Amino acid sequence: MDDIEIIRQRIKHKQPSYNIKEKIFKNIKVNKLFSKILVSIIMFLSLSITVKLYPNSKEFIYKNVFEKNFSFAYVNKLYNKYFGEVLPVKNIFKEETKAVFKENLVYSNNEKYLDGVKLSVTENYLIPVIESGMVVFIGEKEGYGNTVIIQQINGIDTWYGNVNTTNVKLYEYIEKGSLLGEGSNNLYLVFKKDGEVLDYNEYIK
Amino acid sequence: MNILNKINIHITTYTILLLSILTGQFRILMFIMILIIIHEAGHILAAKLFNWKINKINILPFGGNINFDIKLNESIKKEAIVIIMGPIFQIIGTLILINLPIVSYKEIIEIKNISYSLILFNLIPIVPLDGSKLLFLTLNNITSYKKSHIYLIYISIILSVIIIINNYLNFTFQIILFFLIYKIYEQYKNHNNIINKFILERYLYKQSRGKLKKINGLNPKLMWRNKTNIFIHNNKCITEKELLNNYFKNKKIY
Repeated sequence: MDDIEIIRQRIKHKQPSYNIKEKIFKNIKVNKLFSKILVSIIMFLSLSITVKLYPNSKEFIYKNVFEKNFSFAYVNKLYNKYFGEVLPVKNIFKEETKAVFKENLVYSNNEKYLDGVKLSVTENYLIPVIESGMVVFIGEKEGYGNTVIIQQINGIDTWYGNVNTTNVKLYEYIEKGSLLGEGSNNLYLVFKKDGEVLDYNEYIK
Repeated sequence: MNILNKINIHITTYTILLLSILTGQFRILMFIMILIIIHEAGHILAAKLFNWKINKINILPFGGNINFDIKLNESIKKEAIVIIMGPIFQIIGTLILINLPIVSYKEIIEIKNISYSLILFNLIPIVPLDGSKLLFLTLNNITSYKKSHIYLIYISIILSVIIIINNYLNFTFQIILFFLIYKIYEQYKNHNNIINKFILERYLYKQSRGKLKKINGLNPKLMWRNKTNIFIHNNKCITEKELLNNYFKNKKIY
Protein backbone atom coordinates (compact mmCIF):
# COMPACT_ATOMS: atom_id res chain seq x y z
CA MET A 1 0.00 0.00 0.00
CA ASP A 2 2.98 2.30 -0.33
CA ASP A 3 1.78 4.17 -3.36
CA ILE A 4 -1.45 5.14 -1.62
CA GLU A 5 0.59 6.75 1.13
CA ILE A 6 2.58 8.70 -1.44
CA ILE A 7 -0.64 9.84 -3.07
CA ARG A 8 -2.03 10.93 0.28
CA GLN A 9 1.09 12.94 0.98
CA ARG A 10 0.79 14.66 -2.38
CA ILE A 11 -2.83 15.56 -1.72
CA LYS A 12 -1.91 16.81 1.70
CA HIS A 13 0.78 19.05 0.35
CA LYS A 14 -1.38 20.07 -2.63
CA GLN A 15 1.09 18.95 -5.19
CA PRO A 16 -0.08 18.48 -8.77
CA SER A 17 -1.28 15.01 -9.68
CA TYR A 18 1.21 13.19 -11.79
CA ASN A 19 -0.78 10.33 -13.12
CA ILE A 20 -4.33 9.19 -13.78
CA LYS A 21 -4.42 6.98 -10.69
CA GLU A 22 -3.79 10.01 -8.52
CA LYS A 23 -6.36 12.12 -10.29
CA ILE A 24 -9.02 9.48 -9.82
CA PHE A 25 -8.12 9.01 -6.18
CA LYS A 26 -8.29 12.74 -5.58
CA ASN A 27 -11.73 12.91 -7.18
CA ILE A 28 -12.97 9.97 -5.15
CA LYS A 29 -11.89 11.69 -1.96
CA VAL A 30 -13.85 14.83 -2.78
CA ASN A 31 -16.85 12.84 -3.89
CA LYS A 32 -16.90 10.87 -0.63
CA LEU A 33 -17.25 13.97 1.50
CA PHE A 34 -19.85 15.47 -0.83
CA SER A 35 -21.97 12.35 -0.83
CA LYS A 36 -21.78 12.11 2.97
CA ILE A 37 -23.06 15.69 3.26
CA LEU A 38 -25.79 14.97 0.74
CA VAL A 39 -26.97 11.84 2.57
CA SER A 40 -27.07 13.73 5.89
CA ILE A 41 -29.21 16.48 4.35
CA ILE A 42 -31.55 13.92 2.79
CA MET A 43 -31.99 12.07 6.07
CA PHE A 44 -32.69 15.28 7.97
CA LEU A 45 -35.20 16.58 5.42
CA SER A 46 -37.05 13.28 5.08
CA LEU A 47 -37.39 12.99 8.86
CA SER A 48 -38.66 16.58 9.16
CA ILE A 49 -41.18 16.09 6.36
CA THR A 50 -42.45 12.82 7.85
CA VAL A 51 -42.97 14.37 11.27
CA LYS A 52 -44.73 17.38 9.76
CA LEU A 53 -47.11 15.31 7.64
CA TYR A 54 -47.84 12.59 10.18
CA PRO A 55 -47.86 14.02 13.73
CA ASN A 56 -48.36 10.53 15.20
CA SER A 57 -44.95 9.47 13.99
CA LYS A 58 -43.31 11.81 16.48
CA GLU A 59 -44.88 9.92 19.38
CA PHE A 60 -44.02 6.63 17.75
CA ILE A 61 -40.37 7.60 17.41
CA TYR A 62 -40.19 8.98 20.94
CA LYS A 63 -41.71 5.83 22.40
CA ASN A 64 -39.53 3.40 20.47
CA VAL A 65 -36.28 5.30 20.67
CA PHE A 66 -36.41 6.89 24.11
CA GLU A 67 -38.69 4.77 26.24
CA LYS A 68 -38.65 1.21 25.01
CA ASN A 69 -36.03 -0.91 26.63
CA PHE A 70 -33.83 -3.46 25.00
CA SER A 71 -34.41 -6.36 27.27
CA PHE A 72 -30.88 -7.61 27.96
CA ALA A 73 -32.06 -9.92 30.69
CA TYR A 74 -34.63 -11.58 28.44
CA VAL A 75 -32.25 -11.92 25.49
CA ASN A 76 -29.63 -13.40 27.80
CA LYS A 77 -32.07 -15.97 29.14
CA LEU A 78 -33.17 -16.92 25.62
CA TYR A 79 -29.64 -17.14 24.33
CA ASN A 80 -28.49 -19.30 27.24
CA LYS A 81 -31.35 -21.70 26.59
CA TYR A 82 -30.28 -22.50 23.02
CA PHE A 83 -26.62 -21.61 22.76
CA GLY A 84 -25.17 -21.81 26.25
CA GLU A 85 -23.30 -19.00 27.98
CA VAL A 86 -21.81 -16.34 25.72
CA LEU A 87 -18.75 -16.01 27.93
CA PRO A 88 -18.29 -19.46 29.45
CA VAL A 89 -16.38 -18.63 32.61
CA LYS A 90 -15.75 -21.46 35.03
CA ASN A 91 -17.03 -20.53 38.48
CA ILE A 92 -14.28 -22.03 40.63
CA PHE A 93 -14.49 -19.34 43.29
CA LYS A 94 -17.94 -19.17 44.77
CA GLU A 95 -19.56 -16.43 46.75
CA GLU A 96 -19.69 -17.68 50.31
CA THR A 97 -22.57 -15.52 51.43
CA LYS A 98 -24.84 -16.54 48.57
CA ALA A 99 -26.90 -19.13 50.40
CA VAL A 100 -27.53 -16.97 53.43
CA PHE A 101 -30.02 -14.39 52.11
CA LYS A 102 -33.03 -15.69 50.24
CA GLU A 103 -36.18 -13.85 51.18
CA ASN A 104 -39.54 -12.67 49.95
CA LEU A 105 -41.04 -9.20 50.34
CA VAL A 106 -42.43 -8.56 53.80
CA TYR A 107 -44.46 -5.43 54.45
CA SER A 108 -47.14 -4.26 56.82
CA ASN A 109 -49.10 -1.75 54.78
CA ASN A 110 -49.39 -0.63 51.18
CA GLU A 111 -50.86 2.46 49.57
CA LYS A 112 -50.72 4.00 46.13
CA TYR A 113 -47.88 6.41 45.55
CA LEU A 114 -47.27 8.27 42.29
CA ASP A 115 -46.89 5.61 39.57
CA GLY A 116 -46.57 2.71 41.97
CA VAL A 117 -47.02 1.65 45.55
CA LYS A 118 -45.55 2.67 48.89
CA LEU A 119 -44.88 -0.25 51.22
CA SER A 120 -44.46 0.17 54.95
CA VAL A 121 -41.49 -1.85 56.05
CA THR A 122 -39.40 -2.17 59.18
CA GLU A 123 -36.52 0.10 60.06
CA ASN A 124 -33.29 -1.19 58.44
CA TYR A 125 -35.25 -3.46 56.15
CA LEU A 126 -33.17 -5.80 53.95
CA ILE A 127 -34.78 -5.53 50.53
CA PRO A 128 -34.99 -8.78 48.55
CA VAL A 129 -35.01 -8.89 44.77
CA ILE A 130 -38.48 -9.79 43.50
CA GLU A 131 -37.41 -11.43 40.22
CA SER A 132 -34.06 -12.18 38.61
CA GLY A 133 -32.79 -9.57 36.23
CA MET A 134 -30.20 -6.99 35.36
CA VAL A 135 -29.59 -3.71 37.20
CA VAL A 136 -29.98 -0.89 34.70
CA PHE A 137 -30.10 2.20 36.88
CA ILE A 138 -28.88 3.31 40.29
CA GLY A 139 -29.48 6.91 41.26
CA GLU A 140 -31.97 9.60 42.18
CA LYS A 141 -35.43 9.61 40.69
CA GLU A 142 -37.81 12.50 41.37
CA GLY A 143 -40.30 11.54 44.05
CA TYR A 144 -38.70 8.18 44.79
CA GLY A 145 -35.35 9.10 46.30
CA ASN A 146 -32.43 6.80 45.72
CA THR A 147 -33.74 4.29 43.16
CA VAL A 148 -32.58 1.00 41.73
CA ILE A 149 -34.21 -0.11 38.47
CA ILE A 150 -34.06 -3.80 37.58
CA GLN A 151 -34.84 -5.10 34.12
CA GLN A 152 -36.34 -8.48 34.91
CA ILE A 153 -36.20 -11.59 32.78
CA ASN A 154 -39.98 -11.48 32.32
CA GLY A 155 -39.68 -8.14 30.50
CA ILE A 156 -40.92 -5.99 33.39
CA ASP A 157 -38.87 -3.13 34.76
CA THR A 158 -39.10 -2.81 38.53
CA TRP A 159 -38.21 0.40 40.34
CA TYR A 160 -37.16 0.11 43.99
CA GLY A 161 -37.34 3.59 45.55
CA ASN A 162 -36.02 5.01 48.80
CA VAL A 163 -33.14 2.58 49.03
CA ASN A 164 -30.44 3.63 51.46
CA THR A 165 -27.50 1.42 50.63
CA THR A 166 -27.24 -0.86 47.62
CA ASN A 167 -25.59 -4.24 47.49
CA VAL A 168 -25.60 -4.36 43.70
CA LYS A 169 -23.62 -2.75 40.90
CA LEU A 170 -24.74 -1.38 37.57
CA TYR A 171 -25.33 -3.97 34.80
CA GLU A 172 -25.00 -6.79 37.30
CA TYR A 173 -27.21 -9.87 37.06
CA ILE A 174 -28.94 -10.68 40.32
CA GLU A 175 -30.96 -13.73 41.23
CA LYS A 176 -34.49 -13.74 42.59
CA GLY A 177 -34.54 -13.44 46.37
CA SER A 178 -31.01 -12.13 46.79
CA LEU A 179 -30.16 -8.94 48.64
CA LEU A 180 -30.78 -5.67 46.82
CA GLY A 181 -29.93 -3.26 49.61
CA GLU A 182 -31.18 -1.66 52.79
CA GLY A 183 -34.23 0.51 53.15
CA SER A 184 -36.17 1.95 56.06
CA ASN A 185 -39.83 2.62 56.85
CA ASN A 186 -41.01 3.27 53.30
CA LEU A 187 -40.19 1.31 50.17
CA TYR A 188 -41.50 2.53 46.82
CA LEU A 189 -42.15 0.07 44.02
CA VAL A 190 -43.10 0.85 40.42
CA PHE A 191 -43.71 -1.77 37.75
CA LYS A 192 -43.34 -0.80 34.11
CA LYS A 193 -43.25 -2.63 30.83
CA ASP A 194 -42.01 -0.87 27.67
CA GLY A 195 -42.55 2.47 29.35
CA GLU A 196 -46.17 1.68 30.36
CA VAL A 197 -47.00 1.64 34.06
CA LEU A 198 -48.53 -1.62 35.26
CA ASP A 199 -50.93 -2.24 38.11
CA TYR A 200 -48.83 -2.95 41.15
CA ASN A 201 -51.31 -5.21 42.89
CA GLU A 202 -50.39 -8.23 40.81
CA TYR A 203 -46.72 -8.01 41.57
CA ILE A 204 -46.45 -7.41 45.28
CA LYS A 205 -47.99 -10.66 46.49
CA MET B 1 2.21 4.68 18.44
CA ASN B 2 3.53 2.08 16.09
CA ILE B 3 2.21 -0.75 18.18
CA LEU B 4 -1.39 0.23 17.57
CA ASN B 5 -0.98 -0.36 13.85
CA LYS B 6 -0.06 -3.93 14.52
CA ILE B 7 -3.15 -4.86 16.49
CA ASN B 8 -5.67 -6.98 14.63
CA ILE B 9 -8.97 -7.98 16.22
CA HIS B 10 -10.07 -11.32 14.85
CA ILE B 11 -13.56 -11.76 13.47
CA THR B 12 -14.39 -14.35 16.15
CA THR B 13 -13.62 -11.70 18.75
CA TYR B 14 -16.02 -9.26 17.10
CA THR B 15 -18.72 -11.95 17.00
CA ILE B 16 -18.41 -12.79 20.67
CA LEU B 17 -18.13 -9.11 21.56
CA LEU B 18 -21.40 -8.41 19.78
CA LEU B 19 -23.15 -11.36 21.42
CA SER B 20 -21.91 -10.30 24.86
CA ILE B 21 -23.25 -6.80 24.37
CA LEU B 22 -26.62 -8.08 23.15
CA THR B 23 -26.96 -10.25 26.24
CA GLY B 24 -25.88 -7.46 28.56
CA GLN B 25 -22.66 -9.03 29.83
CA PHE B 26 -20.85 -5.71 30.07
CA ARG B 27 -19.07 -6.38 33.33
CA ILE B 28 -17.56 -9.74 32.43
CA LEU B 29 -16.61 -8.39 29.02
CA MET B 30 -14.81 -5.43 30.55
CA PHE B 31 -12.80 -7.64 32.89
CA ILE B 32 -11.95 -10.08 30.11
CA MET B 33 -10.67 -7.27 27.90
CA ILE B 34 -8.55 -5.80 30.69
CA LEU B 35 -7.04 -9.17 31.51
CA ILE B 36 -6.32 -9.98 27.85
CA ILE B 37 -4.53 -6.65 27.45
CA ILE B 38 -2.45 -7.32 30.57
CA HIS B 39 -1.64 -10.81 29.28
CA GLU B 40 -0.46 -9.56 25.91
CA ALA B 41 1.48 -6.75 27.55
CA GLY B 42 3.46 -9.41 29.40
CA HIS B 43 4.43 -11.09 26.15
CA ILE B 44 5.32 -7.77 24.51
CA LEU B 45 7.43 -6.57 27.42
CA ALA B 46 9.52 -9.75 27.50
CA ALA B 47 9.91 -9.60 23.72
CA LYS B 48 11.09 -6.01 23.88
CA LEU B 49 13.69 -7.03 26.45
CA PHE B 50 15.11 -9.44 23.88
CA ASN B 51 14.74 -6.89 21.08
CA TRP B 52 12.32 -9.01 19.14
CA LYS B 53 10.38 -7.28 16.40
CA ILE B 54 6.60 -7.59 16.53
CA ASN B 55 4.84 -8.37 13.27
CA LYS B 56 1.24 -8.64 14.36
CA ILE B 57 -0.80 -8.76 17.55
CA ASN B 58 -3.98 -10.81 17.11
CA ILE B 59 -6.72 -10.32 19.68
CA LEU B 60 -8.78 -13.50 20.01
CA PRO B 61 -11.85 -14.00 22.20
CA PHE B 62 -9.93 -16.00 24.80
CA GLY B 63 -6.61 -14.19 24.70
CA GLY B 64 -4.24 -13.29 21.96
CA ASN B 65 -1.51 -14.34 19.63
CA ILE B 66 1.59 -12.39 18.75
CA ASN B 67 3.64 -12.99 15.61
CA PHE B 68 7.26 -12.15 16.27
CA ASP B 69 9.90 -11.69 13.62
CA ILE B 70 12.07 -14.48 15.00
CA LYS B 71 13.86 -17.43 13.51
CA LEU B 72 12.59 -20.96 13.95
CA ASN B 73 15.96 -21.68 15.52
CA GLU B 74 15.47 -19.02 18.20
CA SER B 75 16.78 -19.87 21.66
CA ILE B 76 14.33 -22.15 23.46
CA LYS B 77 14.96 -20.40 26.76
CA LYS B 78 14.19 -16.95 25.36
CA GLU B 79 11.01 -18.09 23.73
CA ALA B 80 9.93 -19.86 26.92
CA ILE B 81 10.43 -16.68 28.92
CA VAL B 82 8.37 -14.61 26.49
CA ILE B 83 5.54 -17.16 26.56
CA ILE B 84 5.47 -17.59 30.33
CA MET B 85 5.45 -13.83 30.93
CA GLY B 86 1.89 -13.66 29.60
CA PRO B 87 0.28 -15.72 32.37
CA ILE B 88 2.65 -14.29 34.98
CA PHE B 89 1.63 -10.75 34.09
CA GLN B 90 -1.99 -11.80 34.12
CA ILE B 91 -1.67 -13.29 37.61
CA ILE B 92 0.07 -10.17 38.91
CA GLY B 93 -2.54 -8.00 37.22
CA THR B 94 -5.35 -10.02 38.79
CA LEU B 95 -3.84 -9.71 42.25
CA ILE B 96 -3.52 -5.96 41.81
CA LEU B 97 -7.07 -5.64 40.47
CA ILE B 98 -8.73 -7.54 43.30
CA ASN B 99 -6.89 -5.50 45.89
CA LEU B 100 -8.04 -2.15 44.51
CA PRO B 101 -10.32 -0.35 46.97
CA ILE B 102 -13.04 0.29 44.38
CA VAL B 103 -13.64 -3.40 43.73
CA SER B 104 -16.54 -5.02 45.58
CA TYR B 105 -16.58 -8.51 47.05
CA LYS B 106 -18.70 -9.92 44.24
CA GLU B 107 -16.41 -8.35 41.66
CA ILE B 108 -13.36 -9.91 43.30
CA ILE B 109 -14.88 -13.34 42.81
CA GLU B 110 -15.89 -12.45 39.27
CA ILE B 111 -12.37 -11.29 38.36
CA LYS B 112 -10.78 -14.34 39.95
CA ASN B 113 -13.03 -16.70 38.02
CA ILE B 114 -12.44 -14.91 34.73
CA SER B 115 -8.67 -14.82 35.20
CA TYR B 116 -8.58 -18.46 36.21
CA SER B 117 -10.64 -19.53 33.19
CA LEU B 118 -8.53 -17.47 30.78
CA ILE B 119 -5.20 -18.78 32.07
CA LEU B 120 -6.48 -22.34 32.21
CA PHE B 121 -7.70 -22.17 28.63
CA ASN B 122 -4.53 -20.55 27.33
CA LEU B 123 -2.38 -23.24 28.87
CA ILE B 124 -4.15 -26.06 27.03
CA PRO B 125 -1.65 -27.54 24.56
CA ILE B 126 -3.64 -26.93 21.40
CA VAL B 127 -2.15 -24.94 18.54
CA PRO B 128 -2.00 -21.88 18.57
CA LEU B 129 -2.52 -21.38 22.32
CA ASP B 130 0.32 -20.47 24.68
CA GLY B 131 0.26 -23.95 26.16
CA SER B 132 0.96 -25.47 22.78
CA LYS B 133 4.03 -23.27 22.36
CA LEU B 134 5.36 -24.41 25.71
CA LEU B 135 4.66 -28.00 24.73
CA PHE B 136 6.52 -27.49 21.46
CA LEU B 137 9.55 -26.09 23.27
CA THR B 138 9.52 -29.06 25.64
CA LEU B 139 9.33 -31.46 22.71
CA ASN B 140 12.19 -29.63 21.02
CA ASN B 141 14.33 -30.57 23.99
CA ILE B 142 13.53 -34.26 23.79
CA THR B 143 13.24 -35.00 20.09
CA SER B 144 14.01 -33.63 16.66
CA TYR B 145 12.28 -30.54 15.31
CA LYS B 146 10.36 -32.53 12.75
CA LYS B 147 9.09 -35.07 15.27
CA SER B 148 8.24 -32.32 17.75
CA HIS B 149 6.03 -30.68 15.17
CA ILE B 150 4.30 -33.97 14.33
CA TYR B 151 3.63 -34.78 17.99
CA LEU B 152 2.39 -31.23 18.52
CA ILE B 153 -0.21 -31.68 15.79
CA TYR B 154 -1.32 -35.07 17.10
CA ILE B 155 -1.67 -33.86 20.68
CA SER B 156 -3.55 -30.77 19.50
CA ILE B 157 -6.03 -32.90 17.57
CA ILE B 158 -6.62 -35.31 20.46
CA LEU B 159 -7.16 -32.51 22.98
CA SER B 160 -9.46 -30.63 20.61
CA VAL B 161 -11.63 -33.72 20.32
CA ILE B 162 -11.78 -34.04 24.11
CA ILE B 163 -12.80 -30.41 24.48
CA ILE B 164 -15.39 -30.68 21.72
CA ILE B 165 -16.97 -33.68 23.41
CA ASN B 166 -17.21 -31.78 26.70
CA ASN B 167 -18.48 -28.47 25.33
CA TYR B 168 -20.25 -29.02 22.02
CA LEU B 169 -23.47 -27.46 23.26
CA ASN B 170 -21.93 -24.04 23.80
CA PHE B 171 -21.92 -21.79 20.75
CA THR B 172 -18.91 -19.78 21.88
CA PHE B 173 -16.90 -22.96 22.31
CA GLN B 174 -17.99 -24.08 18.87
CA ILE B 175 -16.66 -20.87 17.35
CA ILE B 176 -13.38 -21.09 19.23
CA LEU B 177 -12.87 -24.77 18.42
CA PHE B 178 -13.63 -24.16 14.78
CA PHE B 179 -10.87 -21.56 14.81
CA LEU B 180 -8.45 -23.87 16.63
CA ILE B 181 -9.09 -26.74 14.23
CA TYR B 182 -8.44 -24.42 11.32
CA LYS B 183 -5.12 -23.42 12.87
CA ILE B 184 -4.18 -27.07 13.44
CA TYR B 185 -4.97 -27.78 9.80
CA GLU B 186 -2.71 -24.88 8.79
CA GLN B 187 0.16 -26.41 10.75
CA TYR B 188 -0.52 -29.80 9.19
CA LYS B 189 -0.51 -28.41 5.69
CA ASN B 190 2.63 -26.36 6.27
CA HIS B 191 4.60 -29.11 7.97
CA ASN B 192 7.05 -29.73 5.14
CA ASN B 193 7.51 -26.02 4.48
CA ILE B 194 8.27 -25.42 8.14
CA ILE B 195 10.84 -28.21 8.29
CA ASN B 196 12.50 -26.96 5.12
CA LYS B 197 12.62 -23.45 6.53
CA PHE B 198 14.18 -24.82 9.69
CA ILE B 199 16.93 -26.55 7.71
CA LEU B 200 17.51 -23.54 5.45
CA GLU B 201 17.91 -21.24 8.43
CA ARG B 202 20.54 -23.52 9.89
CA TYR B 203 22.39 -23.32 6.59
CA LEU B 204 22.12 -19.57 6.11
CA TYR B 205 22.58 -18.28 9.64
CA LYS B 206 25.24 -19.10 12.17
CA GLN B 207 23.90 -21.26 14.94
CA SER B 208 25.03 -20.78 18.50
CA ARG B 209 26.72 -23.81 19.97
CA GLY B 210 24.54 -26.16 21.93
CA LYS B 211 24.93 -29.59 23.42
CA LEU B 212 26.10 -32.31 21.10
CA LYS B 213 23.50 -34.45 19.37
CA LYS B 214 24.49 -37.50 17.38
CA ILE B 215 22.28 -38.47 14.48
CA ASN B 216 22.49 -41.82 12.69
CA GLY B 217 22.32 -41.38 8.97
CA LEU B 218 22.55 -38.34 6.75
CA ASN B 219 19.03 -36.93 6.82
CA PRO B 220 19.07 -33.21 7.71
CA LYS B 221 15.41 -33.43 8.66
CA LEU B 222 16.40 -35.25 11.83
CA MET B 223 18.17 -32.22 13.28
CA TRP B 224 17.46 -30.91 16.72
CA ARG B 225 16.84 -27.29 17.60
CA ASN B 226 19.40 -25.50 19.75
CA LYS B 227 21.83 -28.43 19.52
CA THR B 228 25.06 -29.02 17.67
CA ASN B 229 24.09 -31.81 15.30
CA ILE B 230 26.67 -34.41 14.23
CA PHE B 231 25.78 -36.99 11.59
CA ILE B 232 27.28 -40.47 11.77
CA HIS B 233 27.45 -42.55 8.62
CA ASN B 234 29.65 -45.56 7.90
CA ASN B 235 31.63 -44.86 11.07
CA LYS B 236 32.39 -41.34 9.85
CA CYS B 237 31.35 -38.14 11.62
CA ILE B 238 30.03 -35.37 9.40
CA THR B 239 29.38 -31.92 10.79
CA GLU B 240 26.10 -30.19 10.16
CA LYS B 241 27.84 -27.47 8.18
CA GLU B 242 29.40 -29.97 5.82
CA LEU B 243 26.18 -31.88 5.39
CA LEU B 244 24.14 -28.77 4.67
CA ASN B 245 26.74 -27.55 2.20
CA ASN B 246 26.38 -30.82 0.35
CA TYR B 247 22.62 -30.65 0.65
CA PHE B 248 22.21 -27.14 -0.74
CA LYS B 249 25.28 -26.35 -2.82
CA ASN B 250 26.04 -29.70 -4.29
CA LYS B 251 22.41 -30.81 -4.31
CA LYS B 252 23.24 -34.11 -2.68
CA ILE B 253 19.93 -35.53 -1.52
CA TYR B 254 19.99 -38.21 1.17
